[in-house]
Amino acid sequence: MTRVAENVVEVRNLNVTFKGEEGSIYAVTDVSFDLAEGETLALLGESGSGKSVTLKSLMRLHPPHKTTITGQVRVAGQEVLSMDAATLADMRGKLVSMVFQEPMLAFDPVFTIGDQIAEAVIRHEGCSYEAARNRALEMMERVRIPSARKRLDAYSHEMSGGMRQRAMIALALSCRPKVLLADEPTTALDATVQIQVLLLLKELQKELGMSILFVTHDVGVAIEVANKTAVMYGGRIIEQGPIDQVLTDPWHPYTQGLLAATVYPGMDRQERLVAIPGSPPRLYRPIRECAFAPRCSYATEACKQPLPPPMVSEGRMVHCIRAKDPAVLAAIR
Amino acid sequence: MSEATTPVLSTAAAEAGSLSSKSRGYWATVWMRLRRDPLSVVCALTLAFLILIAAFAPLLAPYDPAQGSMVIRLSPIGAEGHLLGTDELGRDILSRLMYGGRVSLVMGLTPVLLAFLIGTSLGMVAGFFGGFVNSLIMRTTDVFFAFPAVLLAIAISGALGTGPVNALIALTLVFIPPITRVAESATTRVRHLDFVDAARASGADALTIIRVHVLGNVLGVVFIYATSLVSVCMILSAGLSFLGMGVRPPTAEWGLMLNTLRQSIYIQPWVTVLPGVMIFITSLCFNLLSDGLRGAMDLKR
Amino acid sequence: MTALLEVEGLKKYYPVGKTLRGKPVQVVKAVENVSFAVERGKTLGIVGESGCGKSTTARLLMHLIPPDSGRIAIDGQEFGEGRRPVNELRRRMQMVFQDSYASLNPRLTIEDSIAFGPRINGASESQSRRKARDLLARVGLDPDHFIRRYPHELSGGQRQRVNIARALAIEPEIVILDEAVSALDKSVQAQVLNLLADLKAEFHLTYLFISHDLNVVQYVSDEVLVMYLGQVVESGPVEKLYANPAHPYTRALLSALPAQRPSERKTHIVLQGDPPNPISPPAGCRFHPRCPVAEAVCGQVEPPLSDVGSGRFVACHMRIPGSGYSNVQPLEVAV
Repeated sequence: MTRVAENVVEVRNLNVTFKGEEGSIYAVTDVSFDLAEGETLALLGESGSGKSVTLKSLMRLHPPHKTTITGQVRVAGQEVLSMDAATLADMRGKLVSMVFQEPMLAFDPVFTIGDQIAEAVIRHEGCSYEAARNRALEMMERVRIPSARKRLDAYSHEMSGGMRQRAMIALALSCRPKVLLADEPTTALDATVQIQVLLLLKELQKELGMSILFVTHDVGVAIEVANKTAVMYGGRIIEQGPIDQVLTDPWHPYTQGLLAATVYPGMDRQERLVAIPGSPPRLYRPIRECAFAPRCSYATEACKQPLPPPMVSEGRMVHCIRAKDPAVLAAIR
Repeated sequence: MSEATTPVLSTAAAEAGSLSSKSRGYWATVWMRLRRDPLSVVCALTLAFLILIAAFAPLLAPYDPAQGSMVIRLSPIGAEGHLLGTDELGRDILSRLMYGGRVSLVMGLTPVLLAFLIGTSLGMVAGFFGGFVNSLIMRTTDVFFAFPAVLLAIAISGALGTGPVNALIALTLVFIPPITRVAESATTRVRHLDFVDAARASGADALTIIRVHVLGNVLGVVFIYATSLVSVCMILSAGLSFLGMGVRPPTAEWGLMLNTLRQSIYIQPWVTVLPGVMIFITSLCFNLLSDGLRGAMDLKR
Repeated sequence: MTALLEVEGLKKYYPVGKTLRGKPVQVVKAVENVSFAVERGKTLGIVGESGCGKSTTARLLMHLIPPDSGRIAIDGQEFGEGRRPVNELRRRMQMVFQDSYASLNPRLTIEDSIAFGPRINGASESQSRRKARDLLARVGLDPDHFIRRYPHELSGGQRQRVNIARALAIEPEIVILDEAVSALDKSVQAQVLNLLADLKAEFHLTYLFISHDLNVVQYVSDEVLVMYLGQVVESGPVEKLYANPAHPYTRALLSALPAQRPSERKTHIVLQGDPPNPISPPAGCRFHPRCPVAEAVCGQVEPPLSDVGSGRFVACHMRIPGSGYSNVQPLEVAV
């Protein structure tokens, strides 16, 4: 490292609560993380862990009437949670943009792909239609869409799944955002297409120098794209740090359990999978104690008490009182 | 984590802990959710009130609905002894509205109920068996869709001759095609769900699958739709009476009352609109209740 | 040793659109000439990407979709039109679907869903109910707690356990698991995979495990069948096939998998383009437009699924001596 990278995203003590029919849902609790320039952070977690909700907070994409957000979300020095509607609209797509799991939702079926990209460029940069069309073409070529000029006039339903995903990336990157939010963008794709899209994202990141916040449930995908990871469970980040260290030597029992429960290539078929018993918590109440304790084989009485602040060491963070307990370490090794 | 095998049953115990302790049936859940929706509760109470009044009209009505006195014709609202005034023949409006509710509600509900039974059966047969049977039933209903409902009701009533029973038959015929179509599309959707395939895979025959797996999932959808038709039916039957094709004078019926009072609109405008207000309130309540029911029955995963 | 389940030449074409004379405009060749055999007590994995015909194959086996042609035999007895009744086939073979919610009737209690099969197959009311309770306990759900519940009250993992219990309720010999664990979170997936292994041993089951997840298929299967655009491109014993994939598609598919440990990061063979549409598939070898080693012959002649020794079969000109391919590499020589 020649210089200390500047943080493009800083999230502090983020809490997101939804008002539901059967009471409030405490989707995200006390989440803090940083994302430096050019970095990729993978938010790793299973369904209901709060990873997508966290991601959407960076653009305030939640339904406003049903959502309470507190904390700080700073993107490129601007405070997102207190932004007025006009500034927010200006920021979306220009400073921060997003790719989704389902590209059909990102495109309007009645406009061509080229016009939709051009429209986004005009809205944010106020340039002429000609210039915007040229930018659209350039982006389509950058995401390696074959015969890009012809595809500018295609509609989203005329494209294959992988192609649509590329077009959505072109749209998201058309205004050169500083931060790209990726919400499981390859989950619906076939294996041979998924790897194309992941490699493309990595290349584009190098070319355009953006930071990526990548939400996924797939450990393999996270390893492929990210250099840092934050593992989420029950609405909290329970462990974060450089991805190689976190996934090679996990400190939190949940991260350990998740890795042990995942089938890996070349695994012995006689070997039994070490499943985590039970199922994830329901977030109908604020969980102040460790949310994983009911499923954790190392849990003690102390784990039912409210969680103390996370432990930070060696550039890593872990939110577990038993994490570095010698007894626990002995059990893992 | 150190243990290689986790006993399966301890898994279940941990999972069970995440469930609410009480189990409710589907309809109990729907009922509970409906009760929590204030608008639906108000509508249901209003309808219950109207139905009770109609049912006990002979006990509740202050006057005979057919007896009038020309001396007091077209009294205003709040006239002495006649709370809601009198009509052009001096009959008490309140009593006539009470009695009129009986005919109007029956005329609104019966055709929909009959069409519900017939249309659901036709639609389920068409949807489940598909192919030629489907084409035959659905293309026939399409013919009916070529005409607006009002025109169709008038045409059928006209062909059958006037009278309440014929109006009832006409309205039933008008509502069979749309209900058939809704039932057919619901059945087609359910038929392609995996649990129907699973039932076929365990060797069940078509009738058993329809009875056990299709009926319960189709009835709800069609029921919601049918509830929303009640208001249309009430308005149509009022319309038929208004045109002189349904109930005959001197029977009290809201549509017919609206028709006869119409000539006096410049003399007693407020009295004249009362039957219209009753039709409006009743159909609005049925519509809102149908909306509430739709919301309550939509149990997400 | 004869196989428990034998399938030969299974085929299904779907017409798309019709001209006024009733002739199909286009044909989807969903499944074409699929043959395989599974021995009793073994697991056959079927892998492939979306549109490869693996799920259609499952439904054809159960006769949920009638096959155009093909032979399905259990213990040497053939089923289908003019042979033994399909319902008998269905009693011996059951299926678990991917979507745990769609495969349970939302209006029935868990008990009724499981007891449905035994009931219509002639078991008495009390027998069926007892069966439902026993099986529920066996799949790890406390009967007292779950028996009266409805599907929407359960989590995805719990529902899939119920689906497994339902499939076992009429005591099949073969269970087809069509992406049965694919929609589950990893920690729950592991529970269900362990359960499936236990049940297989306890009830002496034979599995057909259909999935797009190559890691899971490797873990559970004895033999693997790789499908591409409705055809089998490669099959063989799992260890050999994974260690040394013979077909360029299998090779690319395995290479496309992200590593599950940071230390195992690798470079990937990246195929161009998406899997093509099974409507009017390419002539010759269906994989040739995306194949990194395709030659002229691959676009002209369809390679047959050929025996390449040690229980393995491949449909690739590169592996078939005398195919006209310039550089044929018989499997044992290939690295």
